Amino acid sequence: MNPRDSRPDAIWETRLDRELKGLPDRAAPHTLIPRVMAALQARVCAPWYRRPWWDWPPALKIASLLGVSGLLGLATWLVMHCSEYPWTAAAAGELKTWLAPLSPVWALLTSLAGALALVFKGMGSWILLGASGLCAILYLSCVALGTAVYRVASYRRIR
Amino acid sequence: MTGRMSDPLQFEAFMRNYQDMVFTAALRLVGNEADAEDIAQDVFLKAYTHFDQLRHSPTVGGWLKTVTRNLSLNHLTRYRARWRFFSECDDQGDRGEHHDFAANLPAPDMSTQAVDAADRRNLLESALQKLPAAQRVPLVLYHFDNLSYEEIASRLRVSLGKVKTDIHRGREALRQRLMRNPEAATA
Repeated sequence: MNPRDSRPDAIWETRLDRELKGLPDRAAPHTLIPRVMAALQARVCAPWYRRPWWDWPPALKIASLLGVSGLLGLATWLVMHCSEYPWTAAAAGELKTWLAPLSPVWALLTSLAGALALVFKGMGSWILLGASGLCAILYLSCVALGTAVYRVASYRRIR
Repeated sequence: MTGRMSDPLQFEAFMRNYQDMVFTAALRLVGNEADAEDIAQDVFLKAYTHFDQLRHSPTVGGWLKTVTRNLSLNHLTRYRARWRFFSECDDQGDRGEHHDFAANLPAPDMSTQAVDAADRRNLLESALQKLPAAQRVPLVLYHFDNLSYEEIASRLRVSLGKVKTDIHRGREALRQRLMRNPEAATA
């Protein structure tokens, strides 16, 4: 056995630290700079509406801010004052007429929800808890199995 | 970015100055050249958005290193997230891999003459890259980025004990590798 194996860890740590810090940088691939420049060029050539908002031209930034503020203000005003105008009641009636074909669907959904509520009430809390636990166990089993398969399949790559 | 690239030549010169440092920092953390290049590209794209402040900043190197470290750890986290559930209780597996690691490294030619400094550095760099990520990442954060054990544990969201164990195993793996080449170990 090599006698150096018994050296205290602290000495090795200090020496390794010195050696690691003394390692020179690796040369970056020659493709790096062209890749970055191409990505920057692609960003620059993109139309203003495909760029992040803070990269928009200043006039458009101001216009968009004013537009959004105006829309928010209008929406707030409408919500606060709609009951004062008779046309809102008429509009609500009109809306009801438009949605009338959907009323059987709505009725079906409400009856289903009512039936489910009755079933849950009748089952009792212990059965509900058990069913929830079973669902959780089944879900975790799927996650565990998927993780195990993933890890076995790509073990070398990850580690 | 407002419709045209500002100072592309200056930015290119800036990249030339720092590309090796950024690429190396990423490579040591992720252990893969293609991923390191992707990360380096993201770092420089971020740098470009702050180029006006960075170009005259004396701390630009530190800024680049921090961004590189964060992006590299994010990259590793993305791949680790799905199996991390098991990784904390994987001590036996880690030990097994620890032995496999040293055994799987290419054996040095013991008949050769003294190993010079460049060879020693190559040997160390190669051994570092071949460490499993669980050992390499905390080792790199400790020795290259000067983070404390507590900072590493917090950054990697693992226990302090695991950080200490992984760093210790990483150092031991490197020692074993260098011990197989006495000239490298004593130089």
